[in-house]
Amino acid sequence: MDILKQISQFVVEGEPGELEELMRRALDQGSTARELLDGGLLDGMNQVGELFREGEMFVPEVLMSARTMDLGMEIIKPLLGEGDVKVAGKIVVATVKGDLHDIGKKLVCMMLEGAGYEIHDLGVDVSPEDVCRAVEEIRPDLVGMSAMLTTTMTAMKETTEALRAAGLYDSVKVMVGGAPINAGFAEEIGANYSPDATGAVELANALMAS
Amino acid sequence: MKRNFPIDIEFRILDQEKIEKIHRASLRILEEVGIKVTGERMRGALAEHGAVMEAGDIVKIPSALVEKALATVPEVIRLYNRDGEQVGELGPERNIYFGSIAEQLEYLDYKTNTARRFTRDEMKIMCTLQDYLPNIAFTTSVGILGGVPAQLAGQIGFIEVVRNFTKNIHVVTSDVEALKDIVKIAADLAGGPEALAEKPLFVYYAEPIPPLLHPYESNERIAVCAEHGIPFTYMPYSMMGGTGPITQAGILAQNNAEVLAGLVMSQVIRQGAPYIYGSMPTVFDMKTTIGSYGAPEFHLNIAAAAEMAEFYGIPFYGSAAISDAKTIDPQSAAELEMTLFSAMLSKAGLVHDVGLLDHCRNISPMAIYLANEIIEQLKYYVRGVDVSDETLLLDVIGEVGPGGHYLEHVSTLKNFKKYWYPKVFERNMVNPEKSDLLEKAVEAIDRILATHVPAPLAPEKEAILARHEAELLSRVF
Repeated sequence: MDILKQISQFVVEGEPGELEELMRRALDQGSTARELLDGGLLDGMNQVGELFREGEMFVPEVLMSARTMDLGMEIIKPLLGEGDVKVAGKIVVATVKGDLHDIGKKLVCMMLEGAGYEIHDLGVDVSPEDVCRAVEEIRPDLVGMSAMLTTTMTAMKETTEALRAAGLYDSVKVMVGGAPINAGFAEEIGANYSPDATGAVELANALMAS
Repeated sequence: MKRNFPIDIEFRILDQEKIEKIHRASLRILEEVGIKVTGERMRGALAEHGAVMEAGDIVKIPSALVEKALATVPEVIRLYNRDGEQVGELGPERNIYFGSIAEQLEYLDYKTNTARRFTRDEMKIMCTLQDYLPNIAFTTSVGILGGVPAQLAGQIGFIEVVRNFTKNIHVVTSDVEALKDIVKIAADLAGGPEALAEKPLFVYYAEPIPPLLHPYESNERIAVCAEHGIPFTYMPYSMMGGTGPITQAGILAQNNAEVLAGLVMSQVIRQGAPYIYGSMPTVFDMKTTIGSYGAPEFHLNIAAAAEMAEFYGIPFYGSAAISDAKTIDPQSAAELEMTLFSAMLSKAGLVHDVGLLDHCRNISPMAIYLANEIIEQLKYYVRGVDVSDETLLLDVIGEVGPGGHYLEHVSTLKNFKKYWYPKVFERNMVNPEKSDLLEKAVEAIDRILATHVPAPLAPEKEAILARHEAELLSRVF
């Protein structure tokens, strides 16, 4: 098998141990870091995305693949030129004020990371002010908010309003999710909605493209 | 008070050895891993009683403190309605009470079998139907009522339920402030805080945040309920492979540790505070990422946790008649039956969420109606078989003899009505080509809603509610 295809396969199978050796061999044989990235690692993650959507791969397997991809990235990052490594996007993520639930947010972050996004996770119980501060410092493309309670949903509204008041709203796109959230609520507060982690990745990609 | 209906089936998931292993594992979790507790009052109370305080809000609870709490927690909890009349009792007699909820995010219309947003109008339907159905013993004000300011949803929801429901009331709120208001309202209805503590007008439930987070928002509710004598259910909701370990033994141990931690917290605030063991340890579906409501392992775990509660001599709060399907269809029907059967066989005393579909998104009056029928059906199973000289009917068998018949025998005449005669399910000799069961059910629900009127609240109590409602609304308008 062509060496790039082998690398891609190891990402799909979530085999970090074997990957390093293979990548070094490929580099020795003359492959460029760019080729390893596009034809090997990213190709693998694209297949993973497809397989997960089709119900052929499961979350823990996807996360193993993402870890494998991370490891591969460590190896070639020093070799790539400045302009070569483009993150898919930068996103600031938080569970909103008053809410301490974060398993859904954690899963979304891991999936987004696997899809090439740079994640800045502010944690839980994050005030609108702290979100604004982070947006000012980090200058992300996207802001993601999570809530599990109907009472903390209002904090999402307060956060988008705070972003507007600080003149930051127009520089980002806002994504929201969580058990009580729906598309109608998201629209009301000027945000975008996805019902699950895969949807969040697709939404992030769509928002980045628009 | 005699048992509400007989259960004579041996159903056991965990043997004594497994129970003790889980118990010991939980003690190790509490002693070696610890839990996170925030909030000065609870942290102070725990420290005072010998818990070990470590960095990062970690609290380690020594087994001795757990044993002490187990010794003071009551084994029997009495259930009352809004008027302080006793309507049930939880304890070793194994009474089992099924209940539902008064509001949800969505409402599954029983005529169209489609879901829509839940509004205040639907709450009356929920209360009326559940007040009528004989096998529904309680409803729950969930504190998410739409159409009212979010910070008042719990309190207004409670008031609405008190107005429209004559059986046992359960309450959940999104925050602790709403609980404090509800305690005040209930105390006024009862005739003062002492009267409320003697005959609490509601059962409350709250959750920690698995794994092992017991923040102020959770533990302050334990404290408030303990202080006021309100039966308090602590119900960790955790998912195997997500917020709990992937194995059933692991999640049962973590879950048990959370509940024991909550128990300790209730008893250090007030010894003898009524406490109920709740559990929702489910499957995290690794394809679709839902926390499953219908998974067989979920209900197995619930029933296993109920055996832990029995081991400790504490009442148990379970869940049944719930589904991952969104509408009334073969999947929800099957999950209704399976989950109710599991609950009936288990050691649960209170079984909640009846009629909750779409993995906790919608509440379905039709599902509640069907569940009422299924509960009735299952009563006739779990009562078991009475084998005695009187029931063996040897003399009758001799009388009738080979080739005879029993149709006219006096023993048949006297006993045939002891078997189940369905009210909703059908046993036609000639069945119609197309089932009309749902059509008839819709008509039945229409009739119930048109004719059943829950007994009105006494005028002086209505005045109390009206006063509180006005005060609450004045905070926002």
